[in-house]
Amino acid sequence: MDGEAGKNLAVKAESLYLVNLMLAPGLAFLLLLLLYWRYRSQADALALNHLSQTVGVSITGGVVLLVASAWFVFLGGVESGYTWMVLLLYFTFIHSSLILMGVMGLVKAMAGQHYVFPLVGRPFRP
Amino acid sequence: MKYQSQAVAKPYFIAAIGLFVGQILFGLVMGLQYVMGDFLFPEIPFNVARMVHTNLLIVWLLFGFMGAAYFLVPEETEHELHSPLLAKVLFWVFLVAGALTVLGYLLVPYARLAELTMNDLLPTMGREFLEQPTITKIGIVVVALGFLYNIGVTILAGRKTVVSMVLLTGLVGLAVMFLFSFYNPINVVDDKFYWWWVVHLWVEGVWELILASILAFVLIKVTGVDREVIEKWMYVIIAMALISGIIGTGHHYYWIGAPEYWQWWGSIFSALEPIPFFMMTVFAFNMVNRRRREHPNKAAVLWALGTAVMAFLGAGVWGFLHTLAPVNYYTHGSQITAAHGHMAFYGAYVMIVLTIISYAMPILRGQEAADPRAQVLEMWSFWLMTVSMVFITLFLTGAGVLQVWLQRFTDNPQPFMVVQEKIEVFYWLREAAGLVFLLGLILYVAAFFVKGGERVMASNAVADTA
Repeated sequence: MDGEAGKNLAVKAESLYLVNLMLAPGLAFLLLLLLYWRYRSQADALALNHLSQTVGVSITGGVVLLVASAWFVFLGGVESGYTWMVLLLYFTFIHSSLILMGVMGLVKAMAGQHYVFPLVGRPFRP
Repeated sequence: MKYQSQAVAKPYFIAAIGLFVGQILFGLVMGLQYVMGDFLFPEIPFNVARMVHTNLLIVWLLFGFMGAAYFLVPEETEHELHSPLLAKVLFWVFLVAGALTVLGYLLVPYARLAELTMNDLLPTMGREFLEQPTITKIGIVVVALGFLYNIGVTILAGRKTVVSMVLLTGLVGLAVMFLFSFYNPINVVDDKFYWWWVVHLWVEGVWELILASILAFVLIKVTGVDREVIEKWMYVIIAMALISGIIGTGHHYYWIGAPEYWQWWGSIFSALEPIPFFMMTVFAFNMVNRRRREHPNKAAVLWALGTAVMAFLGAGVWGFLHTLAPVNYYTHGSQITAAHGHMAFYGAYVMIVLTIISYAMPILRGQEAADPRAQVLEMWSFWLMTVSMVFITLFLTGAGVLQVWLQRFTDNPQPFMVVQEKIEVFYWLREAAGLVFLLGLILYVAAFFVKGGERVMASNAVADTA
């Protein structure tokens, strides 16, 4: 895989990560998984960096968003306004943070640079 | 300074900052009135404080936009401003008219102000954000026409760039949409319908063009990235802003008595409204990441990036949060709206004006960039104001969710004032965050007075990499 193809793959990975968060949750993640599955052995270092980061952070982000949200509902119950308040603030804050980190990832991919998501991306360095 | 006539921008920026301080002080007064209802009553009743807070915001942003235009148009067109004298005269007309209007709000009961200013001849007063006496509105139109003439003739006489043309389009749109403030039909549905043509089509329409052009101008200057690259981004961003924003007006028509189809049109198109802000964030970070020069004005770069991020969060994310009709059925007019309003205005428009001031003021004072110590202070002010605005938004959102739940969603809805007492703690927290914001603003102003070690420009011309 040459440099330009690797860069394109990195951009695709970051784009799918963002689409998963904003437009087509689940579907875009499946496409991202497919992309990772297909290219993980032949991708260059740049593409592998972005593929690993986006897949890893998508899974972590999903867990952080969904598990914690479920935990809030379990603790507070759906009949409490306080549950919804905490849930909405938490979800919006984490979701927005994941998007902004993805924007940085996309910008780095477009420039052909490596990127590690702050905090959540560290375990997924190839 | 590359063109002498750019100097007329300076008083506009100074006035903008002065009025910004006033806006924040009245915001703090009002924030306290939320929890101490008789604070400063009867001297400054809540409705007056609110009117001054919102009107000052609009006026100082207009000062900022005009200052920005007077600064960037000569550089973009490579031509001196058509009439610096006219710009100076209009500055004083606008400042005096604005000051008299605010004094009128503070010193005279609103109904008496309407009588004194002969509102009955052409009634336009009494509507949120458009409370200005008719005579003031006419003054705004005169100032806007003079300003547009000055900027328009300068652009026509010089080089036409995408930045200046988009800016001009935004400014013409601003003036045209304001004319609907003179249309005041008896029918309250009609009244609200066209009132949004001013309010919505300003902030979610033509102002976005002004925002995009100022941001593009600053990014061209501080990054040295090719103008063509930035212009291509601008085309897409403003196209998306207009496509989503114009029909997105429908999200204000859900519950005012307009036809039901607006619930579909409004929901679909306003759900698209975060897209231009998202693109703006990618655009700003992309340009800074690809920069071909290290501009000494780090503070301006920080403001530019902050504008993109906070506009996306405030206008995009917090707008989307309550824009779909089934959600908005419960949330409209609640503290969630206030949360969105605060962060969107700060992120999109306050920050872009502070961005251009941060970039232009050192140049207007004969420096390429401010003294590094002044920049450190300015960057502290950036973080204090921005983080406190994030907290103001979070506290208001928390208050709003509880308000909606207790007052509108439960099987046993509680009265408005009962709910207000239950969410009082959020108002106290918001006030505390507001004080931190004021501290940031004080540091911002103080940064202009830090002396010594200025980076004086090597020549009369700023390095124009564009």
